[in-house]
Amino acid sequence: MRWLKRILPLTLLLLAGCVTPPEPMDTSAFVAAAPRSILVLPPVNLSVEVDAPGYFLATISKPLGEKGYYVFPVNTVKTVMSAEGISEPKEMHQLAPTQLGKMFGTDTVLYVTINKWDSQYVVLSTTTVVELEYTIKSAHTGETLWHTVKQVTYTPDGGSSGNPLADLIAGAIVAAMERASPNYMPLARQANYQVLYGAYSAIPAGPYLPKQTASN
Amino acid sequence: MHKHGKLALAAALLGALSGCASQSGLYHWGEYEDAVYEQQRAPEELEAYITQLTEVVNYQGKVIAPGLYAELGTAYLHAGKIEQAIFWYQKEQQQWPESQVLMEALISNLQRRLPTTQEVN
Repeated sequence: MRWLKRILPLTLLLLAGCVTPPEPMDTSAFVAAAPRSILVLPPVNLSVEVDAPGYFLATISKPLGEKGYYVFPVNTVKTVMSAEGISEPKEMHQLAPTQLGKMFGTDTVLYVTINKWDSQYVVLSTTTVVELEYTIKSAHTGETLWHTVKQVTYTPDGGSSGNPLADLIAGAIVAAMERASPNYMPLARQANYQVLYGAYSAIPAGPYLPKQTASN
Repeated sequence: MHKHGKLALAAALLGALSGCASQSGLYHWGEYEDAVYEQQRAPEELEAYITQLTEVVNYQGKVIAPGLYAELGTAYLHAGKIEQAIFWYQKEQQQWPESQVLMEALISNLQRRLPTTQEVN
């Protein structure tokens, strides 16, 4: 029994280590600003993947909306910008948040830069590494309310059959399919969810999220 | 000790489960994500985009996600169907007060483009 007593504190410590979430980001400025709406600008793409902005734009509204914010319709925003003669994301990102606030009536602006979107093809799997940088600024004061950089590594899963040989073949087929026409929707979803809901970087709940779930 | 371990495990499991449950969702999004992706890739495929979005916004039983009525309005705008565009922008405006400034600007701009000032519905 003595050995048990000796290792017990250690075990508890280990368990506590598993359970305790990492120290979350300071979101006090965000909470104080209490925004109701978020305008997502088309992202600046520094990667070589030309479709990356499309994947990002398609998958950002849902996690933001489900957090309880009004999300401006991304394709409509893009259309309005083009009509104003601003079609390059880089130019859009240079506009002052307060100017965008007046144009769209938004409380905040989300600026995203795609730093990296690299796929490495090997025989049995394809691994893609993306790095995205997110900044939310107040459209009333221009103040940065939230900023984070996220790297996500993604390998499409062909599922396991329990038969190693079958898995090997299935894996090779999945990898070949990814090479031919990659589907990055799951990756883009994963990246946006991890950032907006992750223990460290999660944004505070918005006004449309019921209080009960908001504390979760 | 053993009992406590089980309790802790049960608590952890419950926590994980409730974490999942909270993601069941406030809104109906349907195939919005795929539709938007396709529209970025191939903007000329307007007809398919309009069909997809129409299906999403006609869903009954859950609130349609923010922005989706307006996206359909914009799709009609690209197709040159101004009256339908105005109709869906008005729907967005009625549903979401946060959209007021943008929808107001879009609607008044488009109404000036209409040949006659007829009632739009």
